[in-house]
Amino acid sequence: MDQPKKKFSNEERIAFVQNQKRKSQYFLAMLSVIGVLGFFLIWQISVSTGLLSEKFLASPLAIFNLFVVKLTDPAPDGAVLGVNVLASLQVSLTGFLLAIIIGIPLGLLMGWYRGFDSFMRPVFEIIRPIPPISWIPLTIVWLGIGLQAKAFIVFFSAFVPCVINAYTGIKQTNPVLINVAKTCGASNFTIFRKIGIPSSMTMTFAGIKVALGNAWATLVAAEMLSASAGLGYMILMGRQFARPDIIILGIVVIGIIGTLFTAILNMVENKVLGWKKL
Amino acid sequence: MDKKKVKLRLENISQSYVVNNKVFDAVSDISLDVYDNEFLVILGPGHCGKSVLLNIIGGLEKSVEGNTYLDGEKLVGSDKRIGMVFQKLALMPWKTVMGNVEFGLQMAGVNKDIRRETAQKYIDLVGLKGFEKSYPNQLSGGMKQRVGIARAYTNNPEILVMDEPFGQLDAQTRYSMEEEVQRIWQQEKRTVIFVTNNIEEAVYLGDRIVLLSECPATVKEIYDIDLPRPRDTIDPKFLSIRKEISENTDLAL
Amino acid sequence: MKRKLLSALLILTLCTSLLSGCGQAQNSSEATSGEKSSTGGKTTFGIEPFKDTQTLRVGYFAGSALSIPFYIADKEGFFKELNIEVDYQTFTNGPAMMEANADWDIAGAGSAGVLVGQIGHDTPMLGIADYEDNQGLFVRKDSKIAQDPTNPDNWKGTTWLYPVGTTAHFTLATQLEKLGLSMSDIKSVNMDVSSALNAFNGGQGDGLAVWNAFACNAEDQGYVRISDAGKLGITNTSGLVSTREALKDKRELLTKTWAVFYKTVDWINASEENKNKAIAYYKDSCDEEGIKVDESLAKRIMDYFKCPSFDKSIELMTKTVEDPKGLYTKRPLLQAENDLLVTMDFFVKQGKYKAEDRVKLLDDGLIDPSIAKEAKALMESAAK
Repeated sequence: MDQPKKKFSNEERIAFVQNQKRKSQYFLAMLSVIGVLGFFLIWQISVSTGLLSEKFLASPLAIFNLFVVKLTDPAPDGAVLGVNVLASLQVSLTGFLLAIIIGIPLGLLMGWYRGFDSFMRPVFEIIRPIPPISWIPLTIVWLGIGLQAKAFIVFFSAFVPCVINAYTGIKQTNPVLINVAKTCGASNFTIFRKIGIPSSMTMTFAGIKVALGNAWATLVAAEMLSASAGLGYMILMGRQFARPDIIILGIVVIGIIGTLFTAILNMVENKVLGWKKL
Repeated sequence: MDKKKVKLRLENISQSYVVNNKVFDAVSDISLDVYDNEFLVILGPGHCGKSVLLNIIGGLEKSVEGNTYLDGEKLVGSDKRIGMVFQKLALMPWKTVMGNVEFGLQMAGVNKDIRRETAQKYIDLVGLKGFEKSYPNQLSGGMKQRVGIARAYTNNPEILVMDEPFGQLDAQTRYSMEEEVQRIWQQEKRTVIFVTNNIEEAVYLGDRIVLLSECPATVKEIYDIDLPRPRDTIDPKFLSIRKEISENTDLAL
Repeated sequence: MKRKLLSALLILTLCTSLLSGCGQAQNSSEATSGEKSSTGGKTTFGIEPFKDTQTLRVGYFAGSALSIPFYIADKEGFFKELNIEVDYQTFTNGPAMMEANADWDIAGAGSAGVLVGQIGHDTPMLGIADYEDNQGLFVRKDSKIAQDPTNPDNWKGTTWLYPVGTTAHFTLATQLEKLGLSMSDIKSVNMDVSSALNAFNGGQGDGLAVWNAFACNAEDQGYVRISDAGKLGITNTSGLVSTREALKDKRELLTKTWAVFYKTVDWINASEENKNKAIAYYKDSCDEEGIKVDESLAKRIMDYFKCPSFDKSIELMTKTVEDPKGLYTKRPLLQAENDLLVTMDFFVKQGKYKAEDRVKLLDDGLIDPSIAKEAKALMESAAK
């Protein structure tokens, strides 16, 4: 009996699987797009039909319009949208970077060296639950009203997840790997660097993502402290001058930039932690 | 008959722990000589004393009593001359096979080219040529153990300690790994201390078998296995030794 | 099943109590017994009391003189004798007060707050509550501006702490204009008055623009008052505002309240004794809200208080004149409208509001004289 002829060649089968994958990815992407568009559609319809008062909730079209206008129009807050975005980025990214630079090493060291943990923990636990906004009055006195003060408020909200995640991450280090390093003749500090820190990367990264989200979200609070420009300031001015559309524009821009941050961090994570996806 | 050189000497090793306010003896007064370039198997019931003994040898634990001597010199803490192969999870998932294998030499600050060359030699030796750039989560269980063995060898230890390295593998892979270890050892001779709870494995691999008792572990008996290599597991002599040992222990095969 | 129900109930109660806990502080008034109604039914101002108890919800700025007539009237029993119970909703700034307009029937705010309410929340102004002269600009004794305030170069590049978009902003801009400068010659840092004062005390900034109690505080700290709204001749109106709903459903309450409010102002100015009583009441109201105010500060605040009298208020809301700026030609304007427009025009010039907003103010009857007129009629009939 002859062997039945194969229905497809290997090349065809590979091409077929790749095609299926592409289609599935496309489908999922389309669902996401529909989700977003659907949301905007419902919003637009609600405002157009008067279900939601135009006074308090401008329609998506109006917001988009305002977005374009605001790119060049400084009213009512006194700065064009680009200036506000840059001012806000400056504040949040400064606070965020400080949080990473201080928070992650702190968490890693606390997780690795028990003595250091006992030393730092009480102070950390006291500071942890304090909401960033409540620091504002003291911050004015200590750090004034410039970038340092605002970045400090942001720092606070971003600092905590960095520490906690780095700590938890390094605590999860596989003890067998520690033993491997020991038998290779490594010192405790070397093991900390070569085994502990890489082991903690997954959780640390998660912490960084949360930290960035917090930093960006605390922005409005920070700009309430004092500001001459920024998205939070723009929102405050929208409130001051009965411009709910400005308020919404501010919120939307804050949301969009937040999404961009997440996307960027995901790309970085894929580079650093690429081995996880294999 | 040459007097065989003693490579490693264990003298009156005892280990005990305080657990829940009670003293628990794991190892009780074990003295043992390990000869240069011999393949010594430590056979014992599960989870009592074997790993502890290895940890003491490897410097990962300090014994309550007794000392270990390498070439007559007392050992303190971990020593690079003693390499270890662990049972599981011993590969750094964020490093490639090459990265894992060359790790020890990297720690020692060896020049990159020499490092690579040495590591490559042992990667080839364990039969993983072509997988240098793979990550551990792309490898099978048997392949991961080979990486562990390659890494241990790459550090060029004087003694290689293997802690039940095939315990996590399925039977087929286990057999083939036993053959591999046997082959590698014959090619690159050095002192090996191999721990297992599998009698057949012990008889297949060992020049001598040290049989441990139940907790607290003591040396029950030491067997000399004088069969030619590679051994045939259904050879009558093999089977009789196996039977003898199994009757002497409380182990189920 | 029972246990699930119980836990569901507990959770619901917890959530509800949490939710109701958020929201503005509410102080129910305890209408103290005044020395009233002893003349067998005749009330202090001769207004007919309500048959059933009415609740008047007042939007209130603690520590601000412009709201004080409500408090005084309440404490003196002028509301109680009319069977009106006063319910205070305190706010810390204009926009917040206007956003919560569903929670009050009448409120007092500075001109910037009044404008936000009118443009953003359709809350009409019913009368003028104060001409705030005590809107001060402060610098430190050793600053260059203090040495020579008339030299524009001393002002250039200085940093000022104040709440943007308020009458403090207006005052500062007017002063700069007088020197031939503009807002872009200085650096502005937006802070609420309390934070601004704190920061200034902490050595931040070169100048401070704050109002009321904060202005007096600044003086007490030893800062130099370079100028203020009064000295600059700015018409800085504060106003009484209400909501369309209240105007529809509670007209009688609003009319009587309007009358009581301005008659109370007359009462304050009637004698030295009353004035002193008013100062004491002001201090009490601040203490209740936890605002630190001493005798001298209370007196200064009340000295600055320039709410128009009852008769003057009627006039402001009824006498008309053509738009002196010639911008609005559809009808002649009330004096009150003109006064409020001073602030509006400033903001339009600064690009904060648009010219259309100015027109909307006047087109949509957002300065509403109807209650004033009814109050006038009410008092005329009461006099008979």
